[in-house]
This record gives sequence, C-alpha cells and structure tokens, in this order.
Amino acid sequence: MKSKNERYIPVGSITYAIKAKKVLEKKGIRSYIIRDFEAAEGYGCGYVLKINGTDETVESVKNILIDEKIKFCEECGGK
Amino acid sequence: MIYFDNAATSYPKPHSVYKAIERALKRYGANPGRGGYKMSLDTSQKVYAAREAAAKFFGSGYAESVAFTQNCTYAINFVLKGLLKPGDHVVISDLEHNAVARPVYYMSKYNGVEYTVAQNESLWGDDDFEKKCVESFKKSIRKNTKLFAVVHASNVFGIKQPIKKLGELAKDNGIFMMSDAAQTAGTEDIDIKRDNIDFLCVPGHKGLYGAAGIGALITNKGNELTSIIQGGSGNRSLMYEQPDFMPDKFESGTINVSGAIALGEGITFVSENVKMIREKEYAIIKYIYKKLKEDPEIVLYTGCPEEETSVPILSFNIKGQSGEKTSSMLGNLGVATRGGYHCAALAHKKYGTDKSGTCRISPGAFNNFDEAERFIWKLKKIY
Repeated sequence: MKSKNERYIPVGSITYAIKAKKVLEKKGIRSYIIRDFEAAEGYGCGYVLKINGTDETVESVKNILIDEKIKFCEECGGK
Repeated sequence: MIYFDNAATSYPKPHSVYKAIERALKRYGANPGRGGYKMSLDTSQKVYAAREAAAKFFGSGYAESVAFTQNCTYAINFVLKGLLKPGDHVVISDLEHNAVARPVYYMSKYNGVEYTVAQNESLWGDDDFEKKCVESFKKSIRKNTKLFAVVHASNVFGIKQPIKKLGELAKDNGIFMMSDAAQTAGTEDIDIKRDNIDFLCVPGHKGLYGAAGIGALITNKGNELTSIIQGGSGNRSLMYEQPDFMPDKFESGTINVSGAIALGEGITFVSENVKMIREKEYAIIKYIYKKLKEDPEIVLYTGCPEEETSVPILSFNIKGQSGEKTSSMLGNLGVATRGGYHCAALAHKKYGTDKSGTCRISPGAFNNFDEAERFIWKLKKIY
C-alpha cells in the first residue's frame, strides 16, 4: 500500500535510475528504484524513483536530476 | 605454455575476473533493465558499476557514456556507420587494422562515403614520425571531411600514433575524432576529454583483462550517431522508435552481462596495477628485443620498444621464413605467438612485410623474465 508521502519520478532507463539514486544519496536524499508502469505514467522503461517527501522535495530532486543531466519525466512526479 | 599473444587476447585473467564471471552467472543471472525484482535490479547495479569503472578509467565522466558492445570492432562500426552519410569523407591512418579499414572500404563501395589513407612518409624511429603523421592528416582534410578514424597503436608493430595531436587537429577543423584503442586500452593513459577523442572504441578482452565477447563505445557525443542496430532495450516498449540516448541507443537486445561485470573487475585490476603491468611488459619486451637484435638470423622492423613511442608489442621474422611458419613452429614448442598478417594489410604494406607477414610477441601482466629467456632459447631451436 502506498503511503501518502510517496512520490514517484519516472526515469528514462535503468542506467539513469541507478545514476539518479547514487546522486541523490550523495546529497542525503534516500530514494528507491522500483518498476511500476502505473507510476511511470507511460514514460521510459517503467523504472521509477520512489522518494518520500513533499512537492518541494520533488522539485528539489528534479532540479538535481536536471543538473546531473539525468533523463526523467519532468511533468511527472505525483503521488 | 609461454603465452606471448596478449595483443590478441590477454591470458590468463586476474583471479578477480574469473570470480566475477562465476559470481555473475550464479548471483546476477537476471536480465538487467528488464525486471523490477531484486535480482534484476542487483544485476543492473553491477552492470552500472562496470560502466562507472570504464567511464572513470577513460575520463568520460558519465556512466551512461559507456555503451557495451560485442567487441571493439562493433564499437567502431557503430561510429563509422552511425556518423558517416553518403558524401562524407573520413581520413584513416596507414597503420589501420581491418576493424577500421574494412568498414571504411565497404562504405566507400556501397554507401557513397569517401575515404583517404593519410600516408605518413616517416617510419618508426624517424625523428619526425609524429610531425609527419599529423601533417599527413592535415593534407588529407577536405571540405566534406567528417571524421578521423585512427588506431592508437599498431597491432602489428606496436607503433603509437600521436592521438592527442590528431584530436587537436580534428577539433580545430570541426572534424570528429574516433580512436581505435584495441592495443592501448589498459596500457596507455587515455582521457577522452583531455585527448579530444569524441569516440573511443575499446575491446574488453585485451589490455583490460576482461573476457572475450565484450567491448565498449565510450562517448559523450552519442547524440551525433544514428543507431545501426535497433531492437528491444527494455524501455519505451510500445514505441517503434529506438531510444535516442546513451547507452540504450546502442544496446539493443540483452547485453553480455557476465562479460560487462567481469570487464568492470578487469578495469579495477588494471587501475590498481597499471604501474606494475607497464613496467613488467616493457622490461620483458625490451629484453627480448635486445636478444633478437644480437642475432643475425632475425629481422626486426622497429627499434627497441620505448614507452614514448610504442606499446609492448614486437614483430620479427627469421630470415627467409614467413611469420606464420615461425609462429607455428613456436606453437609446437609451447610458445603462443601470433603469426601472419594480423588483419592489418595497411601496416604490413607500409613496413614491407606484406609478403612474409611477421611473428608477433606481446607480453602481458602475468608473464615473467624466465619465460622471456625460455622463449629466446626455444626460438633458437627452430632455425
């Protein structure tokens, strides 16, 4: 069962998923790689970064991913 | 057996590489990038670690800049056929392996691509070898020149080419630079950013001490290439379009997982032992060179391999005997060498060995001086 604080950011590939997880770890943000086509909203490979946090957290994570040139779905990231 | 054929395939491999392959088959047996269960994700993590190791080793900076291929030749073909279009011109060197020469020739015959072999008037050991090499490329540039495709070091004679200077020349003229690092990946310090290499093609099974069946295309300019093989990549499954990003663009179908993981271990081994490997290989090849030089029955084609000018590879012949025959006779005495033409017609033509071929010796990380001495002793038994 999904918690209300879980957010999902679909990524372009498993390579980008792993890279994103590592980058976020270095910045103290814990994330999990899962494969969930529903959460992926039709984007990429079905791999999704699951994070716990608010809309602000999601925006912060997205900015990090952009800086690191990680392919992800910029429009996604909902609950 | 004395194994002096490391330029073909390094042998033996480090213990860590053997263990990595076994572990990969047993513990990381799932398909990476296809599943959401633990073993698939663990496998993907291991493959990613191998990408990171290669990216760090060759200075690309990004794990995704490493696309695993079947071997170095496949990586070269991805670049040549993904970049060059009808009417484009490519310059290659006069020491190229067939990995470059054949696809370029094929494309000139069937795809409307033009090519020039930059003829370096100088030979190994000439003071102006590097200068003349760069000049030969400069002279070969045309308005439609799109790529320099250059072997970093000759697989026959070990001669190093001034890859960094050629990269600068390419950059100054808006030309892409591809380096075939079949004989230098693992033995030479290569940094694709520093050396202006747009596309680096490496084998896994030679100086990086991985298994056969794995290589890599390392580039931060994958967007400049079209894919030449399309297929399943684990993503965008409902779309017919091939992914347009690295590394998925060049990794259709399941990759060689155990090969990739083992390659990562091989790169780690080389990274941790690069000084030892270089010193040992050069010491052995120099010792053998000096012994051969003293023998009037031996024909040599280059000077003593030095770090500045050569990789630790040496070609020789016994007077009046083909390289293939010498290699065969040595094989009967338990010495592994490579005889013949080494898939390198251009290099043999340049050095006048296109009739005889040569016998090539190439030491590796696990050879020793005792083997070098026994090699000399055994060589004298065959003539």
